[in-house]
Amino acid sequence: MNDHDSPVQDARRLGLVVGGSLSEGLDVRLDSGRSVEDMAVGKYVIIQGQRSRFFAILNDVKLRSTSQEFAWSLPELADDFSREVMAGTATFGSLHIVPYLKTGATADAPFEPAKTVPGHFAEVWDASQEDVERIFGQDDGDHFVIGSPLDMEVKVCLNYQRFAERSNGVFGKSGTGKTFLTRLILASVILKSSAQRDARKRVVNLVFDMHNEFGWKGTSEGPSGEVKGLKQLMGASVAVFTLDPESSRRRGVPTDAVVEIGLDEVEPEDVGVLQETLNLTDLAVQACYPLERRFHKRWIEQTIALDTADEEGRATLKDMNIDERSLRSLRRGLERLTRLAFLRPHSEQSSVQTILGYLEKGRNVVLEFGRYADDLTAYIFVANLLTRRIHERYRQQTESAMGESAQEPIHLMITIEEAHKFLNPAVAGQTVFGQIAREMRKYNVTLLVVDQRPSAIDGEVMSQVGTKIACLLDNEADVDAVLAGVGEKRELRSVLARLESRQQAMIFGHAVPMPVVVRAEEWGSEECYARFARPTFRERLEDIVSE
Amino acid sequence: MNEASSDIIGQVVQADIAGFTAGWPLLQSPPLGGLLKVADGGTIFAVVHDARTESIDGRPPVARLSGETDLESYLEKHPHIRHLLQTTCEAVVVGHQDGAQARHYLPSAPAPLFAPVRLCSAEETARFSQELDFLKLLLAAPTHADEMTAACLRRAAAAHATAGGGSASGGDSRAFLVRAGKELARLLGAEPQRLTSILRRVRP
Repeated sequence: MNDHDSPVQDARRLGLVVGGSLSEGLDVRLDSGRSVEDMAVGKYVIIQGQRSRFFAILNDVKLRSTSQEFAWSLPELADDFSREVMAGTATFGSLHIVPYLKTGATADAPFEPAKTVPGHFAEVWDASQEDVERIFGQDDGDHFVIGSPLDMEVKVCLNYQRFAERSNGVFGKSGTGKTFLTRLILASVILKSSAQRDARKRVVNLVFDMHNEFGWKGTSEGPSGEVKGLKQLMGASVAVFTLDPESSRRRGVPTDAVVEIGLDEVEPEDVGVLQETLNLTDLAVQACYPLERRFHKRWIEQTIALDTADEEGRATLKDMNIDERSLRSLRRGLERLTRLAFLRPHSEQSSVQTILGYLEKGRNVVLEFGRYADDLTAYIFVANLLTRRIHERYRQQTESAMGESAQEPIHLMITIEEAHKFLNPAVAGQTVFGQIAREMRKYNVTLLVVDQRPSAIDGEVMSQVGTKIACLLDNEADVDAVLAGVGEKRELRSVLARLESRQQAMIFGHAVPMPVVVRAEEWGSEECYARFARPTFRERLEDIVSE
Repeated sequence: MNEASSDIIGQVVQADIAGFTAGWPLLQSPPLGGLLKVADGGTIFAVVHDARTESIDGRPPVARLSGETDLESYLEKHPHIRHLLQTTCEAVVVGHQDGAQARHYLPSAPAPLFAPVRLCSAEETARFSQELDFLKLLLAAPTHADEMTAACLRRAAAAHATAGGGSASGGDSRAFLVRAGKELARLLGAEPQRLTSILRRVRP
């Protein structure tokens, strides 16, 4: 090893590579001076090969002995001397590490995916802060901070461009900090987007905020019980829409608009996605189409009013080839739907238009569900209905931009919670979300799905998710779903299974060069707020004056 | 133990590449595990692994009860006996001097016959045992290998303590024993019983 490419001063040697393979990872014999107790899965290490440096993740720690029976056949060794002698010789720690990236001999050579492994007895070192910074980038125009690696103080960044390019997912069981991470990601994307000079690199968000956590303020387990939301920090670039103005008023949330939906806007496809939640039969869903063709815009009201007791009603049904049982099922469902207060017979103002107006101006929209927080029917119905219309508009605009008659719309990122309800195999084909996930950013729309049951999401959709941010998952099927299509599945699984239950996440996929386990940034600290807060008008004025 | 002496205390009487037998004036056997050097032209280092006192004609001396309770007073009364007995020691070769460098492997030729044999000083012992490659040769000694290895390490540890300023904590000596223990653990990876028996004998 030459002096100039030896690892930096603060790094310490961990051991030597003694075997392994590219597909299964490398075995490292731990130096006797290093304790297995200091190791942690998810830790970063550098392997110094003869001509290249490799960047790897630790994913298993083993206690071994030179021969299989050795440790068992030793008499009891209670004294320190014997233990010290045995450590690292007859008995030793071994690490299992997976190399992900490789770089040339020079210090500034770029990292590329590792396609080979270092030779026998290559030295393994703790990764230094500089190494991590070089790999994940620094907080600049193209990168935003997501957290820190487990045993370092350095920041890990996501690549903003690559993140925005694909649909992404935040997964984890309840209470693992999905909401905090999502809020952090949204705020970061908004902040980075506003700093882009090139309009094509900007991103605008539409957030279907089921539990009222993102818009104005969110709940926290901290002492104050609440944290600031996006609008409170970022001001005018975020607009809060509400489905439930009363609830918003009670919670003291200043809203920009109230969303109402006219029954005459509802199409059969919008009802189709509610099959599961409204408990509709297949035939009942099919019945929507002839009913809409017959009654046009007032089809919902007319269907509810349809009287099967009289001769005329029965004839109408027969005419449309609908049997009475299906109608009863559908009517029950529609009656439940019409009880939602934001559904009016006719809405003067098109909410879709209002939202689009904001999005076109580059203002991010958070739609609060107020008291419908626990009403899955309302959530699925509204999110799907609005997204379908907005996506359709985006499709048209993008297509005309291809014909060069118009400008492309600003890239839209739609955040949905409880995503498996929209993207499970049964409905993924019908909902617009399945379509968006599959078509990538063809029409400038991508998703940020937040979910606790990734196994319930259609496999095809999951395979399209670019960057996955996984908090603790303990269900086997969920872990499998998140890791589907990842090369080092077995290795990452052990890391994923050992995340702490709060504020820790493993990130892998498109926006990071290699998988990374982070302690997420703490949302709610003054330092964090300061990073996102927009300067007030007064502060900006003072800046201008001082210049 | 005669740590500081490096006077001639015997002569090589039989030698092969891996070891030699040295003859001693009666009853002056060097200690088990002691580091010897044979300097005659080149220098060969060896460690004592066995010693015996016997009659020169090969027949065991016959015990005579004549009232003496110890050997010295017996010999005083029967001075000719001294000439009928001899003490020899067996040593296993553990290295040689190659210019300024001590090599911890076998020399190219056996120790010359009648070459003078000296017991190394503590300083020499400490210097030679800086490198521990000779432990492999010790463990392969034909007799008393484990006892001799342990004895040799105890002597070397004491020598390191002296060479390291003789600190009361015995820091140097312990560090040496840990280092040597690790080397032994590597060499005896397949023989845990042997390893632990040696470790128990050298434990500080």
